[in-house]
Amino acid sequence: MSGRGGRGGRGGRGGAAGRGKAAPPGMPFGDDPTLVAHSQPSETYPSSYKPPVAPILTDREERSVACFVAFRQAYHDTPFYTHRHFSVESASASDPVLRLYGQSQINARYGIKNRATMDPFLAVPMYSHKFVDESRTLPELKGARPYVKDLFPEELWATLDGKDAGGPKGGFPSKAKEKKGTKRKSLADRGENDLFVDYDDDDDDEFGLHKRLRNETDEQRKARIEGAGKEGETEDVEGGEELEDEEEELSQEDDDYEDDEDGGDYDAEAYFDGGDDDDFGDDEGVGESAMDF
Amino acid sequence: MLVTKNAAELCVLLVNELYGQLPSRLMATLISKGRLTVPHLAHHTSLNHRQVRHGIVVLVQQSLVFTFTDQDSAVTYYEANVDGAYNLIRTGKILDMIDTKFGRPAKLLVHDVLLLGHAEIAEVVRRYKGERTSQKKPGDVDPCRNHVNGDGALSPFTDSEEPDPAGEAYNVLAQLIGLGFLESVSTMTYQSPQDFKSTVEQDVLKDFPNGVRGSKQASEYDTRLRERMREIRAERTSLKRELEMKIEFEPSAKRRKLLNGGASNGLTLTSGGYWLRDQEGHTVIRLNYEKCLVELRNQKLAEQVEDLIGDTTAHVYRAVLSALSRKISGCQADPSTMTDDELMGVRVKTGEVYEHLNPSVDVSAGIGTASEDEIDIRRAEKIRRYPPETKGSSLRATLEEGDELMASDDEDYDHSAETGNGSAVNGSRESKADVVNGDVSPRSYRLRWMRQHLLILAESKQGFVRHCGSDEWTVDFSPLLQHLRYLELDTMIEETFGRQGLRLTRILREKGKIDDKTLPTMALMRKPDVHVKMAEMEMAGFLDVQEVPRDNNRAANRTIFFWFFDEERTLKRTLDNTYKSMVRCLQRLEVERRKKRNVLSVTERKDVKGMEEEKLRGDVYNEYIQFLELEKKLLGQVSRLDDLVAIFRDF
Repeated sequence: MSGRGGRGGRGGRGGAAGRGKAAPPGMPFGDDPTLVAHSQPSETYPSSYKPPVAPILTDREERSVACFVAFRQAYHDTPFYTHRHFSVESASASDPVLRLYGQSQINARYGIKNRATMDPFLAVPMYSHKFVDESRTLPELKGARPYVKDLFPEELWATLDGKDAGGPKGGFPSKAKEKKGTKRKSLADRGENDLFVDYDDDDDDEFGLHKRLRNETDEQRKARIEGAGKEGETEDVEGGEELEDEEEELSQEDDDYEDDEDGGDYDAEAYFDGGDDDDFGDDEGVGESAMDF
Repeated sequence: MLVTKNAAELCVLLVNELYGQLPSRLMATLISKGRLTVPHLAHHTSLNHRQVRHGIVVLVQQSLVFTFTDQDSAVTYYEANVDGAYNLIRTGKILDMIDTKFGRPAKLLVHDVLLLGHAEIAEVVRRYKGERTSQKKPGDVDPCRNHVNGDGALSPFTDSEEPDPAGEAYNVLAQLIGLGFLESVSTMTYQSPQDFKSTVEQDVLKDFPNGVRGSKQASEYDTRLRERMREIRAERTSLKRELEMKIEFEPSAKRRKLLNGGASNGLTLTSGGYWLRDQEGHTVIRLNYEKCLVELRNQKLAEQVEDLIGDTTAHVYRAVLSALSRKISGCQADPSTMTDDELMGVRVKTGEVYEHLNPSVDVSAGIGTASEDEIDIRRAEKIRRYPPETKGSSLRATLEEGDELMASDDEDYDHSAETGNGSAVNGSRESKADVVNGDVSPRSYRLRWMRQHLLILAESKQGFVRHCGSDEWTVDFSPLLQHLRYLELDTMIEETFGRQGLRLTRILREKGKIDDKTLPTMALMRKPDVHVKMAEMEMAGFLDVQEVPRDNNRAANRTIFFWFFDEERTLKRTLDNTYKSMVRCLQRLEVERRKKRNVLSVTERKDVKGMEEEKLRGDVYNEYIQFLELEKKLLGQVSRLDDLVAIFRDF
């Protein structure tokens, strides 16, 4: 509470360095001669700082920490865990808690795992690699465990099956256009509710809903295989146009930073390996599309 | 939900610590940017869509995001579940709590459920079975089973019998779901609270095609909304209630409760377990953090009693709390969805408390005896019908107290404990001499002593228990926790500013706003001392000053300065500082990991993991042990800070 610049230039100016002097007149306690105000800023960090030492952990605390560590270990052993992976610059920095400004700097901190960034000296298979866990940058979802698809948004279903095609719509069970076709077909054929309405419908008991959902995904999977053959010929009903427009708009927006959506004419990655993720080994699945950036 | 920078950082670090880098990056973006779609997330994180979707799957699996799908455009928005992310820090505490309360199998099951995020009951059981069978192989070391369970929870497994793991798992799951520690998941649980509320509101609004006009319609709308909320809540907990009923009517239920649920060895399915296996195998469950929080609160309060009163009384208090918490679903219940029963406040009978008391506790310990004429029985047995806040109806309360007192005096000779139904044993001091001679059954003997402990608790200044009716007890959580909050805050102020600072803040808290001229006389301190302390505390943000000018000039010497202590703001600041400290602990852990990365990379090798001691060279092993010690200290500190957060925010 130095008087300097406090209240409209009322006294307290020009104190010599370090010398304490009486509080500026006009302050509520200014009439007290024993009170000194320092015009010099005080040391921000006291020279004789003795941090208090924490008492040792009690039994319960020790047990709960052990549980936490065990849980962490157990989760890190599951295929869902993604390892820490930083870019070369940030990994070699002395302080892991870097000061970062802006999203781009934060993003630049993380490493990209692809063929361009691999270390040519360590990438050659060696005997000791047998003992080192591969570091994952992408959770291995496929087949890791049964999923309850009902609880996931539809755009993640293909991802769960390990069939994520990349691109903004790659997570849908089938391509968006065909899916719409299927949806209408199933509506006409089986007389069931609309897929989207169904999705949020909670009135059924868990079991029934679940069962039907499984039927639905099977149906869609079948439909996708069918649809793959006769690509392009999708029927147009006026309800669909609205959706179509919206998707157009979305993909326009996406095009700015994601250009493999149409996945056709010029696809640099596909040039060499056909763009197929599976033939490239599991742990490098990220690399392919990460090279876009 | 709005969070401070430190809280956001903490959540991200926690997700990174447990679930890995990819989800934590998405979490960071979701917290800072609000609700986003996959393309937007990809844009902000410079990841591609495929990576984003994989990360999101992990987050959805662990219930760390809320999802919302727009039904017209089929666009899905994701929103960070900040509370869920914060709760990760309590993983260890919750697992330990489950272990001490329900025994090892329950802990393993909860561990599995936590690992899976949400899962079908059948899958949890399958995993459990797999673990159990693989565990039998010698040399299979599972780190989560390494720690010693010290609280005497009975393990049902002895080498002589061959248990059926699946049956056991169903039994334990039925118990955990019935008590609310696990909850069923539906698509609705993935709606964020705001979305949920607005959907219900819109749903109700459909009944009012012309909109809500006038006070009459508004009140009708309110009641309908509340009803709808209650219905939905009932729907959500239908599985729990079903199992609760089954547990209640289980013939061996009482025995099992007393043995902390460890006595069912899976050879026979309880009706709950049976039902669960046959009917609900596809129900999806996850951990209910709210209920776990209630249990952690009980632990905290019992520790408090142990410190202030004594060990045996703490055991009795534990019994009271565990009897009470069967009827409490969350620490901070939302009044709009509360049932009438909950609004009235939950209460327990003495008999119920007795059911929950660990039979090995010697209740006659830790309490002195006073001769009969030294005790004012009217005061000791006084019944307080109303919680301490509602002092308005004091006249009526005193009248009724008188009546009740008479009534309970009449009951004195009604030793119903001997008839076995266990209710209404009013400890009469006269008969205590006989008790020692042993001509009363052990149950009523124990009951009477337990009752004395309850009376001690009711008499305590903090009001741990309220004697709210004849043979009925309740706990007023909010004043009690307010007391706890002040206790923590006082400790903190005393540590930082010394005794004088504490004295000043307590005066201010008691009196409200005080002029700085009267404060020194009130605090019996010298004026300059007071001013220096106040300025110090103001800069730290604990106190604030309000200026009231006496005239238009606003001259400083014509202005009155009122000091005050803003509790709410202080709590917020303290909370934020606590988050910051936790963040620093976790960052420190990261620094230490980096320092020791050579050692750690060796210990993570597949051939070394699990048998570090044999495989590692002496000095490397020592370094590794040092690191483990350090990690334990840092995580211990984080969990202590979390205790503070729990008291200030969650309990």
